[in-house]
Amino acid sequence: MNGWMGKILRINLTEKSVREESIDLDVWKKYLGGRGYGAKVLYDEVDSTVDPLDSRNILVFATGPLTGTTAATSGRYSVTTKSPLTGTVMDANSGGKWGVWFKKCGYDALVVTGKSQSPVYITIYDDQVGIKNATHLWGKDVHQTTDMLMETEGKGVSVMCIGSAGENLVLISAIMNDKDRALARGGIGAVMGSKNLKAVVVRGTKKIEIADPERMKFVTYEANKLVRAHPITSKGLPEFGTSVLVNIINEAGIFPARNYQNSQFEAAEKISGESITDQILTKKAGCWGCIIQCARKTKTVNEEGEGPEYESNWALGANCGIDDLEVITEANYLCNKLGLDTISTGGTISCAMELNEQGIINTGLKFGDKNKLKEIIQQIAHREGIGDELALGSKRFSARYGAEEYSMQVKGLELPAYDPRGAQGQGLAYAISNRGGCHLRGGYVIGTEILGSPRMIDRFVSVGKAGYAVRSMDLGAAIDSMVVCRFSTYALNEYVWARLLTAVTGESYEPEEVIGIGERIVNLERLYNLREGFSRKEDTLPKRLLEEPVKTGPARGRTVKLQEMLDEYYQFRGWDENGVPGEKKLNQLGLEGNING
Amino acid sequence: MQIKVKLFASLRNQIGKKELDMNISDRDKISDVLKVLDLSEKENLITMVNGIHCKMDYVLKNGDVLSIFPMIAGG
Repeated sequence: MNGWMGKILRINLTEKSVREESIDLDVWKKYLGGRGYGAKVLYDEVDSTVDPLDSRNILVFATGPLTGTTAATSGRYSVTTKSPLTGTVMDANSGGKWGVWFKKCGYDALVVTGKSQSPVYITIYDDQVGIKNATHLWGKDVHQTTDMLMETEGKGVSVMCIGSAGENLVLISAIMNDKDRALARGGIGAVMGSKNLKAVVVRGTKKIEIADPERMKFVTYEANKLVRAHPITSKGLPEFGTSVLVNIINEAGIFPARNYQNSQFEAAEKISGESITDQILTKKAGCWGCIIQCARKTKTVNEEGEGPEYESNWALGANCGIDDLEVITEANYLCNKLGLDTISTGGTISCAMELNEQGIINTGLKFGDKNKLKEIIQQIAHREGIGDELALGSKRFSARYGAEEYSMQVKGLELPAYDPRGAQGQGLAYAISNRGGCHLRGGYVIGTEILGSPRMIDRFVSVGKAGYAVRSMDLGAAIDSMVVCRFSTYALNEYVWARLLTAVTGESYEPEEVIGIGERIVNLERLYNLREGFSRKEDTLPKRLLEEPVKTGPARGRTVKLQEMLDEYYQFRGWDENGVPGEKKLNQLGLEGNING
Repeated sequence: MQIKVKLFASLRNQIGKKELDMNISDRDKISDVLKVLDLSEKENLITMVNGIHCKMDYVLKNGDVLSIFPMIAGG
């Protein structure tokens, strides 16, 4: 088999059973792998009666046909599960090297079901699979766990694991791999923790077969030239990392501060990508095989580590009113070690800060209080004191005090770092994302509304935005299933991806087919959420963004005009006014056998 | 009349400054300022005046803040 390895590994932790299955090639051709395959398995195997932390929930770790090939940015894999934070389908993807090491074991996906009685870790060395006692690792942080496993299992392995947050079923916990790479969102670390699964250690030596090596060589050469020539992937990202966005987003008046109370942060420059480069950067880094190198190795007075990335920098910084780059950086290191989603952690802390400020509950947390940041992060991961409540995420936490309007989330997932009141299309994107408040699942409309990529459109206009969101969503879903990095899409488009997929798999992919695969995946995820009881009323935004006009700056006076964009979006998708895909659309996508709503 | 120019990312090294005050003439456009700074319009620069995206033919006013970015992304 070419591109795909041809096998899936299924491990049931209740029975401690290991089973290999051949892949159903028709399914993989239709969904590619990664996020698409994950959505298909979740839809087929996890129904609405399954609680996300129940042993019947599953974790689908999946690579795609391009993972581990010479295609640009192909060092990625994804995980899919039902989220304990949102109750929706949840996929997350990560770089580093774990995905490639795993695929080289000879598998396209690992499906973990059941629950072990005591802590275990899984080892996969080519087709030698083990389930081992992890009692001695329980309670250790991500870095300690990784170091201990590399010591006992051998240096050539790659380790994916949870930290204390996942063990303690924190609903904003992440799964980490290769120490500082994160499958971050939706509390997926807690799903791994609920199964008493501490880590998955992999080392593979098998070859990924390429259908047409000559063609692959040629298309890779061409694609890499484009990546190396594009100003974003050749200059902006490698030179300044993702935090290069801080200043432009702040200048545009959509850089949220203090739990979205403000839309600009007066100290943005202090935490910008430029400042990171000047003050704490020690080395540029990147995922397996990547030629962009956007990751940052950094050093503070006290510690060394990775990051912060743009979102983490904002969530733990501006959103909490904190402007000390060293403090933010160390808080980010700590989240990585404890296995916490930095966006949701920052978004939940900022919510607690606002509740304190509003006099709703004395959380003892104040905007700008940098001395308490690391302490509260520890408390969240270990569920101590107020941290036990914050571990539930901002929606559940604020709801306890009748103050849900101060939780800046969609479907329970904390929002990222763009205030959509000054970028209408991004507001739509947050509302329609299948995994909740996210800039990468409902479309990265900021790309065209603010960054002018591929072209600049009027960010304040709401009419006509649905098409941009749909295109970004569908291409994104395909990208997440190949699995490659979203950053490659600045330089490459579906024409290049179709040729790479054709060269790797030997199947003939057309550009519009690649987009069509993405559309199929987005629709299947929507069907999953509908079956879970989600509907139009959850495709919404926090009250603040819909009703509270921006107070100052370039976006002053604006709110998100959501309902008109939502109508347009459903129409564009071929869905009814409640956001239910119509029969015609499902037939067109080959989803006709699936339950409608 | 006077405007403030703010530069970001790689443009800071290119120009050697983070920001500068500039005296310009009436009816000077963004493109005229770029010429003075030796920046090419062809580089797909992103230009904002007072935080609002403006095109090269935008006529600047006294007190305007012109922010200039190279093509960047992240997220």
